[in-house]
Amino acid sequence: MSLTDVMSAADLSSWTELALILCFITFAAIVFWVFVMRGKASYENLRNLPLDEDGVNSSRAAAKGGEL
Amino acid sequence: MTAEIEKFTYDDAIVRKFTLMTFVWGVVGMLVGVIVALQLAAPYFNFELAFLSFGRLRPLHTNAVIFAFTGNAIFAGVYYSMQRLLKTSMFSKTLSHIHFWGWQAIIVAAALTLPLGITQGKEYAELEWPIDIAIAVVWLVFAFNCFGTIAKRRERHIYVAIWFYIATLVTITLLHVFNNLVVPAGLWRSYPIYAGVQDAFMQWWYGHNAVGFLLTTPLLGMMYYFLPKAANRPVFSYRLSIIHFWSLVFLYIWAGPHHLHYTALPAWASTLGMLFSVMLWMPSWGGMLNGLLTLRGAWDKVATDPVLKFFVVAVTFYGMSTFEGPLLSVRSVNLLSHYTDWTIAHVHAGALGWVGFLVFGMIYWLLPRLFQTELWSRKLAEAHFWIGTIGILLYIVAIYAAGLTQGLMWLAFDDEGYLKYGDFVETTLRLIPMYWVRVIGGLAYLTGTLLMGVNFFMTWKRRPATYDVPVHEAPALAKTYTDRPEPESTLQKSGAHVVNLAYKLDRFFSTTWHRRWERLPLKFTVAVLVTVVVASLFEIIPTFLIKSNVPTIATVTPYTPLELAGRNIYLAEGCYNCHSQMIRPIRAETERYGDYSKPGEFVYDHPFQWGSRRIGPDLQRVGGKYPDLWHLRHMDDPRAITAGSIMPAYPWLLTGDLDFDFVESTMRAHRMIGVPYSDEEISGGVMAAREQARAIAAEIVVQGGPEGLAEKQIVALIAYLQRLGTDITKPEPLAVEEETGPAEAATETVDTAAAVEEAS
Repeated sequence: MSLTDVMSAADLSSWTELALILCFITFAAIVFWVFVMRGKASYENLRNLPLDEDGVNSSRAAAKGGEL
Repeated sequence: MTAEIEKFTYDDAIVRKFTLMTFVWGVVGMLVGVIVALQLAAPYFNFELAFLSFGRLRPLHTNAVIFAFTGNAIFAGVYYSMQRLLKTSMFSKTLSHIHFWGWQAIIVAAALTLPLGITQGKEYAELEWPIDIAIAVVWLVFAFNCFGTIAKRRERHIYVAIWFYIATLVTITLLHVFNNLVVPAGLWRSYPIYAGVQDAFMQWWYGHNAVGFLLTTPLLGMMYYFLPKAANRPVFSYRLSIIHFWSLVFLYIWAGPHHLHYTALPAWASTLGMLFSVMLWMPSWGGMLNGLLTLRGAWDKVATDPVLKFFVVAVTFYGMSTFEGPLLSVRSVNLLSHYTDWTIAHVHAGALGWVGFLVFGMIYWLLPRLFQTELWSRKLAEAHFWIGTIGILLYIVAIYAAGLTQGLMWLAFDDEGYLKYGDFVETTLRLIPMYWVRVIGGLAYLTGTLLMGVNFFMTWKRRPATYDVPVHEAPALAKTYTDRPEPESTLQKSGAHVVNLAYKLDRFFSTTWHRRWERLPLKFTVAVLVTVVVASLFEIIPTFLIKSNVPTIATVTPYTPLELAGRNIYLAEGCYNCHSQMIRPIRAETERYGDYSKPGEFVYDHPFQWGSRRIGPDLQRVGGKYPDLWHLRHMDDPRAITAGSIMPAYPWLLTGDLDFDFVESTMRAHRMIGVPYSDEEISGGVMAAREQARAIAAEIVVQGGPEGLAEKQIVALIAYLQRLGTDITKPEPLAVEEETGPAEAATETVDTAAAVEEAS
């Protein structure tokens, strides 16, 4: 029995519905995750990375052992 | 412990090179765009020259603006921002140079081969296999250089811009390789391993995601870097950028099949594409809002800073295009818009507004920094902005109007139930004024770009004698890094399971794990790869493996050797740029063109030629519709046959000799990809082709045409055109052989009636 036979015998419509539901749940979970999470302050450093390129970050990083 | 401070410099020379070539290729691509726009408004601008005809120049325009202009801009933006975000120079200057010169060589190769009619015949993937291999190699050099830079970084966290670059590197590699799997039949000719429905699916999986991962994700990465820099404010929401990134990468890859509504692609696939396209609206607008809200409190700067002006309009067009895209993917809207200029207007709103203006904004921001002097003229930059904006508006308003006009006229019936505009050229004539407005809009946009060139040149002239190379300092990253351990919870031990679960959820939503990912580029890259591959396989595997997707039609047989040669000419002349070969199952189309297209009709089409727009009518059922002589005269002088036609003339096909030597290699290549030519058919291919050519040439003479055409290209093209769409009207063979088509899927033999029933 080839993979083609297996795929052809499967009920495709239920596969797509299942895929759709899984995708939607994933998407909803991501949205939920983003909007309920806390710790905004911890993101401030990351937001500022593009503005932080001329050594300002470096001195702070050095003080923290190279890690931010 | 304090880490050792390291000194380093940034390689801006490579950024200068890519920025210059962005401008140069931008002018070339836009100039060719204006020429092809002129050719549609006034076909005598084709000059009856093969290498200037619309079908050959349009791919040059699209390839130049996508891969040359945007490509170089992306590389400039990535090389500039990546070094600074990671606090290191690029991994290898040598690789940077190989990348730069390799990419320019590829562009030159494209600019030479496309006007010569050397093409794979697939939109945005026209370049032939040697150039495709070069693209893959140079792209991998770029990827290696980027990942090497990430590996030697001095900034632990990888900023959101680089996530988008990673997604681009991973996905474009996959798209390019899998859409360009071909069997060569010589140095400059090849045929895709996919046929018909499968080829169409792969092409739009590639085509749509090329928009997503070449014209969107890298530019979003650039937006997340250059917009905060220009506004001198951090991005509005890092959290929103997380959702923007992951949902865009996850959803985009599914959306391609929405380009194939009502075609022979199974409806489940195009419906899936539609659903994901609609879902894409949300992350796209999340990104747009993130961009615009970055400017909160800085809107006063927009009034005076041309860079921010370009960025604001770019992000606004991103929002407009990503609203319109999902709208166009909805089946009922697509019914009206597909094959019309509406799609062209949509594409150009995104290309001119989003891509072009973001690139221009970036270049104006970069020029003073790259050349270490002030921008020569802010006023000229302002002028560029306004001329460019007016150009965009003229272009898209005219072409939206043209698209709606086409769609409505093609679908219109009169009171008696006949097509209201039965003659295709009636619609064409109505569009000409709008095409002239497009030419003016395109010229304005090009003029603006030339003004930027003046500013570029004058700023460059004011550069210092030697560039200052600032030395930066940053601590080296520790070789090993361990995250702070999670606080130990005593809840589990104390038996408070529910509270413990709540605690764990709280830890999860604190997103520490995602920040950890942001420090682990390998894991991050694998996550992107898995996201893209899994989503692709969900659509690709069923499309390729389920037999009922492509019911074989017993009367559909491989092309004759001469028809195959004619098909090569059809591909070389880029006929697919104006003509579809796909009749949708709607009355307005079946009345106009004939019976609608069935999946089984295309099992020997390597590549598929369904097309995506109808500047001219559909050709799926053109076989047998006109005499041979009609085709000859039509190709020689279209306006002598159809007054008002905007089709180019192809006089060289009447005088150019047909290369019969290619027949055998073409047939062999087709057999390798599943077309059942026997050894005898292949060895006798040239003789059979000459015989059919003589018969057609003789028929042309009988019909009152010229003599001596049996060796000319035109007879091969006529043979192909006369074959189109005729298989389903042939009588069924008495004994039906079970035949394996080019795709393994095509093994089920059904008669035409059953195929029709199944397709419906």
